[in-house]
Amino acid sequence: MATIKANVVCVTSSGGLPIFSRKIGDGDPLPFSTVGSLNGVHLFGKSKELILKSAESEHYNVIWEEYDDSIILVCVAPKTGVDLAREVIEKIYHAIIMFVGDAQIRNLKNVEPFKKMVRRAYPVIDCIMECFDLENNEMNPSMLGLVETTMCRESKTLKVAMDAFVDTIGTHHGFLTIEGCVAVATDGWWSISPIEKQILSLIIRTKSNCTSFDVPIYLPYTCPKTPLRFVSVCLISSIRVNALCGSLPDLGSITQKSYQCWSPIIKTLKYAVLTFPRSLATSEFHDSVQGFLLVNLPVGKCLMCASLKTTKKKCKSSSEKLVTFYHHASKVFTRKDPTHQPLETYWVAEYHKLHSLKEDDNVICILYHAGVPTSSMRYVTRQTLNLILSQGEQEWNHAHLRRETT
Amino acid sequence: MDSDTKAFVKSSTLVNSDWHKTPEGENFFRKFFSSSSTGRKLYGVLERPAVFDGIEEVTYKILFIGKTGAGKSWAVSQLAGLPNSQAVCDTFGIEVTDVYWPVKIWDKVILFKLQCWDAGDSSLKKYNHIMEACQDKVDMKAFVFSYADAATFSELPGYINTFCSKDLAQAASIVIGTRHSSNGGNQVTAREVEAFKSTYGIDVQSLNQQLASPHSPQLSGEKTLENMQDLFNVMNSVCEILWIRDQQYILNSSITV
Repeated sequence: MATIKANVVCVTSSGGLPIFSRKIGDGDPLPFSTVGSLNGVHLFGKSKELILKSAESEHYNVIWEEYDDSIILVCVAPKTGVDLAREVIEKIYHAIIMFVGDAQIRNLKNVEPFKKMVRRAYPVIDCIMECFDLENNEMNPSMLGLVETTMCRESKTLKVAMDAFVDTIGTHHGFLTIEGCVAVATDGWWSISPIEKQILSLIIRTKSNCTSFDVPIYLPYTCPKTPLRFVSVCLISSIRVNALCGSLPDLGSITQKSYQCWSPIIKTLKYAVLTFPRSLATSEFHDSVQGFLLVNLPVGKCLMCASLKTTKKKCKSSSEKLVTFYHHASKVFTRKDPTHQPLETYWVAEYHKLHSLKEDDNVICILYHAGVPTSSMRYVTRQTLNLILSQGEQEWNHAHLRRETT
Repeated sequence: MDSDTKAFVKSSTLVNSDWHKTPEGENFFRKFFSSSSTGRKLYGVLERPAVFDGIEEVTYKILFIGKTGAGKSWAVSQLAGLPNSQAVCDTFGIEVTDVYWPVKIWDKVILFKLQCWDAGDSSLKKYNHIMEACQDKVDMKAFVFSYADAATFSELPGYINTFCSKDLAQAASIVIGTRHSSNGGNQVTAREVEAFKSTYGIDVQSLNQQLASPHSPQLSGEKTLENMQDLFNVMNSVCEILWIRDQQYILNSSITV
């Protein structure tokens, strides 16, 4: 049991019939009897009009969540935090909806066909669960429930090509990814809900081994009734153009059109890969800035640059520090106290300092060299934020303005 | 028509099947494969392997057909030399993988770009648009069965009959047996395969289970190529069948003109 890092089990609400069980880490999955007992205690509470939300053992947390009076998801995870487990369950639920449609969950009568359908979501579910396995996986911003973006200097050229591309295939939802990070996207794509965007990004991660794919997908908030087609074409290795579209045009013609639209700017694409992820003009940053994480919460996107000054080896620890600090900062900024609304927070450690600032919808966290005077961090942070926003102004703020008007 | 194709398949040795053992071929493949045994890289639609710059390229669409669990996705990943992603489930929707393969036909090296279309069996049946997209302009049907599962083999005739509509009549055919074990333990016998070949006149090729081993040791050039003999067999046959189909097509249309 000790080597298992986390388990997620799905059973039917009505009879406790198992639908799936996924685990991360080595070792056996949860035995049937344990699954039965976990469902049993939840059911017992329900009969007494009690909703069992969570329980703790010496090493593990157990979280229950029932959806649509139809399925129950149970997560058994190490005691890293109940919040994380809840987020994971919520994401898994959305992943299931996106692959099978919510009508299937609501009207769940026959378990066997449903079980088969849910298998489609396994790769994405496993991908979501990776956040429990920090020994083997880098702490990355996708674990924050945000879409990871990258800002490139070529974004204007890419945006023009993207708009032309979505026009030719007749959709509003298109985006371009470099190593899985969104480089440019249409306004239509930014306007779909954050969780939808995030799961679409995960699908790209799980299917990175094919030249193109075409998957029927439901969008629980944008288009819940009929599946759309989620189409992705690899342009050059690590760059993919992706779109949500209706029944036409077919995959063959989309592939052809993506060749026509993107081949004239292949040099720009190659340059964008070469400079990734250091796609910002690093020389303009203040000397003490080692890395930053910029988050736009309403849109659900973030921009991480953990390697401004450090070598790649140190990059991992920088990103971990930033992500951990962001967790802290977001808690501080969302504190429900009407008399006191903090807008800044900082940490001082032996080898580094961290400072975070909230401005409108943006939260920026900066990792500093320990030598920076604490009092000047506020100034440098603000300066850095303005610098980043001015570089990619069009893309970053455009989405945020649009969000406010809708 | 069928018997014609059959005769061609049996008699021809258009593609130099030992080309990879010649210095010229070995040189190409050494650069094409990465240091790990079957590793190659995925090429996007805007690029192609730089090793083959200046070499004539021909593109074909191959549709992989077979029962769920027959190993369609596995076969594609083997042919592409890419790590096999999740084998946990039936492929959902369509996945297309472009596989590049150089062959020597007569005295000329030609680069085949094979667009391998793989759609889960249930997606094909459920979604009309997927079936239509898959069947559009197919050059070859690759019927897949697994040596580890006799049912996937016994249902092949059913699939061959289903996929014979007008659109697909022009397409060539091949059968690929996956998860072949050289130390026995195959659920499908060599005799059954031979009988199938003579009944349907379709070439049957096998991919060895061992190819799939994720921990295959890094072998030095010569041994690696030997190790992948069945991959070479499959790829060379696929290219040859497609080439012959084209030659026949050109021949026929020139007669009608």
